[in-house]
Amino acid sequence: MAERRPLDMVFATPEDALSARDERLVDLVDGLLDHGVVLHGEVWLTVAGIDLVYLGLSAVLTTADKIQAGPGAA
Amino acid sequence: MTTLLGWTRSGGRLPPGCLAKRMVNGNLVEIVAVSELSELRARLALLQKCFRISDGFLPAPLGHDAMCTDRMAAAFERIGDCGQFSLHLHFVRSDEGAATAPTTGRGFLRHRRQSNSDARKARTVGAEVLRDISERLKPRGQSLRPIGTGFAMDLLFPRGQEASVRNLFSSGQLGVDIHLGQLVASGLWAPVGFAAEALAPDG
Repeated sequence: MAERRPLDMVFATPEDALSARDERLVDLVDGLLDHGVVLHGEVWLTVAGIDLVYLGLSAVLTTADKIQAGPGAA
Repeated sequence: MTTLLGWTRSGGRLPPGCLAKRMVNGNLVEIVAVSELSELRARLALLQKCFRISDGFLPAPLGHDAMCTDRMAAAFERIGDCGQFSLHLHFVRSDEGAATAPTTGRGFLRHRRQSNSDARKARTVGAEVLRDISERLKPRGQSLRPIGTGFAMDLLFPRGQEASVRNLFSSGQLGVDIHLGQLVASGLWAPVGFAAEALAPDG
């Protein structure tokens, strides 16, 4: 069982985030720049505790210009 | 082609690299970059400089250039004197599952389903953690959205409250007694998230 401890909190200024190589801060800036949403759903068909069928669906919801810009576009 | 950065009240100062292009809606000035900015990250950095020194700066949404003027003026009145703190909550990934991952087909599916169930529970708790933090801070607006490994939330505050909110984050007084992951808070940003919502074409 995981040890209980306070949530690890970090604070950064915008300048820190924009100039950082730290992945967490880079993710944060990317989050500001990217408003796309990924939806994922799954369905399981189970009989008597036995998994028979798995159906997984994923969808991307974002602006048309972002999709049309192609991979690698910010 | 120029890059639109946002709007501010007429007569305000502008940072190097920006210029006031034209008056819009009476007393607002459209601000553009002197040179075209191909990277959104560079645009965000310049937009942040405008926010630092301009009175009541409203950023243009990063994904769009064309704006509805009436809607823009209304958004300016509502969020033009505000900034946003952004919170990203990332979940801790446990290595316990990898060590015990079954190799049979049925066992793999069951293991995968259990892992997904655990992840869903963690996300539910994570969303509650951010909502709880938001309730204690009492922002003027909030926006919660899922991200790949957790949740992100933007909180809208008047500029006058920046120091007190920043102090709460940096002092750790909002610490949550739960082993969940890491919370990264940053700010004060120009209200890019709220401007995007307020100025969205269908919003």
